Amino acid sequence: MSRWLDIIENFLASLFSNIKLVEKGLLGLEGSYVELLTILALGLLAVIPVMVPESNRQRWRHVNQIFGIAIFIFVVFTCLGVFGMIRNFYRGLHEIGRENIIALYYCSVPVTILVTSLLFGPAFCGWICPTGALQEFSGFITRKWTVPWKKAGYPFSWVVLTMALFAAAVFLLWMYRLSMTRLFFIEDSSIYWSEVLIILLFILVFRMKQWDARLRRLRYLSFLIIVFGAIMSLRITSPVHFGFAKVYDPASFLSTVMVVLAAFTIPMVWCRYLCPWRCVIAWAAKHSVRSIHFDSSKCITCGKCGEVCDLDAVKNGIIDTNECHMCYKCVDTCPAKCFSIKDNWKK
Amino acid sequence: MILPTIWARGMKNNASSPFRFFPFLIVFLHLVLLVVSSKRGWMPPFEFFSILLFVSNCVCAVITINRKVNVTMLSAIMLIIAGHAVIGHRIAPDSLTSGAILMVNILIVYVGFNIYTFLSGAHFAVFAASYLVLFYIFIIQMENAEALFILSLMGLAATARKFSLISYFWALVASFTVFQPYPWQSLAILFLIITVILSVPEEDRSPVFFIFLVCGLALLFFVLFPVFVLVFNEDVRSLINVLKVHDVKMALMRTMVTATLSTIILGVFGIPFSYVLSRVKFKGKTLIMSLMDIPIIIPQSAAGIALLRVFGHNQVVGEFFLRVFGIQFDATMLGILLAQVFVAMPFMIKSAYTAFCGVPPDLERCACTLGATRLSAFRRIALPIAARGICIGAVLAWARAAGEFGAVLFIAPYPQTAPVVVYNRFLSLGIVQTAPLVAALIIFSASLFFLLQISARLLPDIHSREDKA
Amino acid sequence: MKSSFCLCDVSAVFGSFSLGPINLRIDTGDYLVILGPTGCGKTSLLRCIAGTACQSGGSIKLDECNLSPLPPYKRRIGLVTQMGDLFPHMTVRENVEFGLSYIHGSRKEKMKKTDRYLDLFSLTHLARRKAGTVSGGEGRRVALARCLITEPSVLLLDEPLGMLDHNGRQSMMSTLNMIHKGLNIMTIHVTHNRHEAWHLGGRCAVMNKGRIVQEGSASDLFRAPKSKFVAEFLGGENIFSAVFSNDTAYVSWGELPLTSMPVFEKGYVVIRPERIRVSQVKNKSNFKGVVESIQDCGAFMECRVRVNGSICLVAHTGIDSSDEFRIGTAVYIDWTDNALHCIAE
Repeated sequence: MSRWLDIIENFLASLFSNIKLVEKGLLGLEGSYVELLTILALGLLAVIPVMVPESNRQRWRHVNQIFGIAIFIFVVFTCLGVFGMIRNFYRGLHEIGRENIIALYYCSVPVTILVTSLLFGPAFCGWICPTGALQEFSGFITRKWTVPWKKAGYPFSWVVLTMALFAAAVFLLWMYRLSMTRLFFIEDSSIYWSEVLIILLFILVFRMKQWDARLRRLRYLSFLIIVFGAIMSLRITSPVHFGFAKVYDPASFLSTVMVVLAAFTIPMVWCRYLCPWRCVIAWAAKHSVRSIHFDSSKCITCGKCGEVCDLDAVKNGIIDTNECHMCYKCVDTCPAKCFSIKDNWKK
Repeated sequence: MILPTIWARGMKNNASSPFRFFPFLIVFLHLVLLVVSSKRGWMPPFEFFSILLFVSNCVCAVITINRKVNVTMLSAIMLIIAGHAVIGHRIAPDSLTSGAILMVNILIVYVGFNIYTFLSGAHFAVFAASYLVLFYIFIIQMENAEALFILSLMGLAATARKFSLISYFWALVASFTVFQPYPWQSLAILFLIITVILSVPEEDRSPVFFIFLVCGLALLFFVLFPVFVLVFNEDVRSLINVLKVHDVKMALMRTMVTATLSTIILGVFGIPFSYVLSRVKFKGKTLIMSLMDIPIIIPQSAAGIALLRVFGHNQVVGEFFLRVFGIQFDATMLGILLAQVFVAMPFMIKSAYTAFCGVPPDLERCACTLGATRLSAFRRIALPIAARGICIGAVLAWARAAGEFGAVLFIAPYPQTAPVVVYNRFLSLGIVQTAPLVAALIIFSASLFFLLQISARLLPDIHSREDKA
Repeated sequence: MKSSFCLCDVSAVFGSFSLGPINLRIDTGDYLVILGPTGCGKTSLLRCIAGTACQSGGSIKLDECNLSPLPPYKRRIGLVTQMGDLFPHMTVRENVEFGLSYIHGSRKEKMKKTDRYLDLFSLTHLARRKAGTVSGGEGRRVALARCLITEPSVLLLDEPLGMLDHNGRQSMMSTLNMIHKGLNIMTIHVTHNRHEAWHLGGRCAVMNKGRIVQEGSASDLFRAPKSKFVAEFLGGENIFSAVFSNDTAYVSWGELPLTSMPVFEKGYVVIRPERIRVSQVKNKSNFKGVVESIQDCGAFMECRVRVNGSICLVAHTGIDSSDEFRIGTAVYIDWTDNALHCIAE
């Protein structure tokens, strides 16, 4: 058996002998496997959404999300943080032609996510993104209050206000404690983002219905800020930097806490209003091959799809690709099976 | 190994046949084989690829039962996996690298098959040719660029199905490889050009238009390239630093103030004049119109010397002004203003003239019959309708005045305006020290110019509606 | 108060084209329609009256006041041009209000007046629209309102119905009637379309080559044109040059008996098509012909009959006549006595 294998191997190798082989392993900074692992892992994760059985898809998704968090907790240098991706992409493009391995190292994550989003839809957001996962898991806890709040069309609610007040109190206390020991720089910008989150929370508690759509445009602003920061080579830390980069800096830990607390109040608040990477994904999603199709003839207008969507991306079956995370919740809950996942290569 | 055939065998069974669990049998056999082979030492135990092969076999088994996937494609993918298993460690020194390559290869096969099946031959040809060219560029042409090859293949996989996307992709690749020293510059210009070409509507896509467009865009590239190189090559911090230099800051301020003042002067004298030109026929009108072009025709240095010859403090007119009013033109702000007004005049008057020509004189006549005097008809009818054209002209004149160098240098080399500062800096410090200043100037004036242009265009465009009616 | 508006020997020169001398007189409540072919100087005349073009001689008098030396904004003559000439950068309301800003009065009154005029011309719903966006008919109404709000003593209308579709025409026509009857303002209406003259009634004047050729009521002009030009312009057909003697007009194709002998010897004779009878039965007719074409014109049939092989007579026959005649049918032609009209050369 092994003899035959050797023969086949030698034959094949002789076929390819005139082609230059990869001399060194494609190891990035300090010999880490980070970039290759991300390509492999993201590739797998992108395939899984279609592979998993439909019956228990949401459970599989949560497993996938936990897996995503687990992977990226160990990813030390390339941070999957929403800011890191943009900054790294810029840096990686800059290194092309100088240090190709480093270019791969910086570009691998954003390129993989972009490519998978262009082909398989924005499943990264719903199935992998650790920030999103964190928010979704924290959103489970307060579902009891947020779901009826949403059903009622986001009126003013004391419960939500209390939660927002609590988040604000945590923020202010923490800031007070921090301010006694350190000065803040632009690098501590995660603080500013959490500030914005708090302000947003209060706006939304009172005026969610009117301001929701308009505030979603803030994403473009934060995208511009990050791009500008990348060009200016400012290191703006991501609000969830702490969890994924082994940088134990209290400011970024605070902002991680803030994202979680804010997500208690309003599900997926970061993804809705602030995520800069979402701008890029939304562009990719618009051009993606895979999309969720809605068959209006089957629809019984029960409105369950809109109820179940954390992002308010579905309204009577019409999916807003700008917002959709491809979590397939609407697909799975639809009693009339109106939704189907389709690959349209001609699009 | 023998997987593809066996697995294809599994495909043939229909749902009711007892063979439908055949793939699971294969997976089981594979597991047995794995264990046995590792026990016997045929393969290293838990070698990356044997595990990967096993996993992919499982996946295939599941898919075969679901039967949703193109069989040929799946066999090709399986073949690639098998091939990697056999020669993988020869291509790459470690299994992870090999695994990444395998991943990308699978992606390429998946996309390639789908393009072949669902899209036209042209798409597939572009896809295949792109693959080969990428291979040539990264593997044969560049040293140690396998990493980039992997990245670019992923990009290709994502973009190959749309001509628009793949053209952007190629712009990216080309600017970072072929135009290497200036990647960002060429990227910006190429993106601009591609966007222009792609946005041409379907019905206008004739080869002639296309060639003409490309000719013009090539020219544009030639013009834009140096500008972009200068702008993008500078570090943002050095730009900000150079703007903090006192001389530069003052010069910028001075340029802005003088350019604005000269535009205002031109507006006050030029707008009524061009109104009269557009409304009244008289002898010598053509002559006046062509004389207006003199500041454009003559070289700037000549203009400067001409001004100096008349308004210099030891010339007749200059001396008169100095004696009577105590005004000196050379080497003062007034001199700068004089030079700027001189060179910017045609821009202001010509565009105001065109704008007023676009206002039907009947409108003013009508206003007159309604009780408006000529002046009031001008103020309430002609001026608002022509405002947009006049504003765009004023912006042009402003830009011309702010950028004036030759004439200003001769009549008022000091106090320095921004272009003069650039020149002096270049003389004393050389090109390297001047570049950030120039970049800052370009960014500053370009952004201001576009801002003004946009705000001028925000004024209502009345003529298009007139035409429609 | 009765007032009158006179043009006395008004003349003007525009390059190679010379206008006038023109004499016209209208009194309060008159509606004068000036008819003329394109390029006959109608618009120039209006512009002279309004003062936006210079006149070279004569005087324009309103009652006893000579307007000629006054600039246009002091004449108080309203001019509505052919395209309306709305100010495109203003809203409809601002357009209507425009003239008021040159008249003394309180702000409140002006607002009220604007509202009243917008209402009068049923423009209230358009008041906030930009003038460039309203349709042709609405635009004319706006122009009219804008003009009339200044209460001019004379209203000049330059082709107010030109280039309008049917609906626009109808509404404009009723608006004009409303102005004529309701506001009782001296109006000069210029047009090249004779149907407008009939519809709007009043007095008519026909212009040609810068001069007024004939003046009178619409029906007079139509029935008794004084020159070949007027006859042709007002839609006359069957005009033949003739020599008159012995109560007979001698034309190239025959002799036509006349009821009354004209004072001139040479000229033209016009046979009204609607007075011509065409039949297959010979009663007292002297002319025989062959039907050359029959065209359905809705209310009547236009039947062309070739007489004596060379001349075509146009006759308006009843709508059933296509059953009676076919192309090529031999027919007899005769006409009532008053069908013939003689014109001096």
